[in-house]
Amino acid sequence: MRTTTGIAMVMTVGLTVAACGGARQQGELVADPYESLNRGIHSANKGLDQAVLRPAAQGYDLVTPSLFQHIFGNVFSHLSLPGVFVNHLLQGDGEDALVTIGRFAVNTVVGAGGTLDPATEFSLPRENTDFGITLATWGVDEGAYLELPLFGPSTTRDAVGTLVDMAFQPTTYVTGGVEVTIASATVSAVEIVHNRNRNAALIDDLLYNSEDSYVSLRTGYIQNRRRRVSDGETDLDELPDLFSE
Amino acid sequence: MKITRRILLTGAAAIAVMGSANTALALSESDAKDHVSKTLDDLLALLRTPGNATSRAPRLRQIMETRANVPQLAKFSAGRVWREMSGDQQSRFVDAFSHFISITYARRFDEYSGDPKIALGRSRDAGRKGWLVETPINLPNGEKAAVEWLVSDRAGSTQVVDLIVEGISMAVTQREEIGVKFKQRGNDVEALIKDLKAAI
Repeated sequence: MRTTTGIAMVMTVGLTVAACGGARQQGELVADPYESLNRGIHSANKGLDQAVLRPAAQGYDLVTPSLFQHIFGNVFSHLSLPGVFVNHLLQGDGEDALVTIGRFAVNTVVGAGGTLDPATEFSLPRENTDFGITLATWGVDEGAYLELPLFGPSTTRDAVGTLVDMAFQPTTYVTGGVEVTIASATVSAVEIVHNRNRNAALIDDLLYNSEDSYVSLRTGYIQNRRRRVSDGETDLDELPDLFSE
Repeated sequence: MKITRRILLTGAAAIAVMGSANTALALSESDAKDHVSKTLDDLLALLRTPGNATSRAPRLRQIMETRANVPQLAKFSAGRVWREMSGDQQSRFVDAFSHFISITYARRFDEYSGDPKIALGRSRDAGRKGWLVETPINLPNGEKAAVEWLVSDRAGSTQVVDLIVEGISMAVTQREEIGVKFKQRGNDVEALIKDLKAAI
């Protein structure tokens, strides 16, 4: 009951915040009224990546055999499924919700607790989604571009989504004594490093091989998110019209 | 009453004429697919020739200039800067832009080396923007990439007007990047052209 009230409150705040996002100007990819603040956060994030995350990911890649990297990937993916399931339900997508719960069951039982992934072979693929997308299907506007400390690129809508998705994560609720809490914090830390390593080439390219990494990240993030919101398809309305000017 | 009828009739005739002109001009799905297929053949032939980004860039530029509307892409990427350029600067900008994107994409191209499996997929009608043709790619390392081509004949002949990889539009991304480059050079058109031309 308390959780429900909490989520409802977060959502009310979220809808209000998202509604406050600026409208984008013609020819603009996304509204970015907070650009100077965002740029400050971006340089802090980039500094953190350079000093900590990138070396950690390189170290992880060096010492972790690819088989273990693969298993870790499966586990992180598995742990996020309850949240994915809830989001499919909230989007009214019963079919993907069923696939997700079937996947969770199969990989828990046959896939040795989620370390293996037999479900994909059984036609129960991962159907990714999150609360940012749920908000989009409810008609909430994308809002303004934001770069969040530690989390990186986002929008007013996706920032609310990230908060709610954290509430959906089972590891968030593991509070069985200090040891378990440390264990769940470690899982989260390894997951961040794992994901940084998995997308190493792309992230390095965006952050370190472009003239303005802030704009590169924003361009990539916004287009990628729009594609996910329109169900993994390119949205015909978002296609550029080269002859319009 | 009579006048109204005549106006209506004239109007109807005009619409009929415009309608038929439109159908005659509109790009057909099969023409769009055919154009993509030819472009792919050119690109795959280039990919099979041994070499690296630098050696492949000149040929890639030829392919782009034949199959895609590079001047229109350049104009779109320049955005508001286009109107600040003189006619001479515009043509030099198109040339520099063409050089710059051929280098950029020749480098990106390296990732697809080997023997990628590419198929013509479904296509969608994007109205006056043209046809969006899907060509999903299976890379030699087992990964898949969603690639789409926006094909239009609005400039008179059938041309590629955008390439979309995993939802990321080349035209949109170039526009953002050119905007940054312009700003970082103190809004200096000549410096922008010089640096695009010097890309290696």
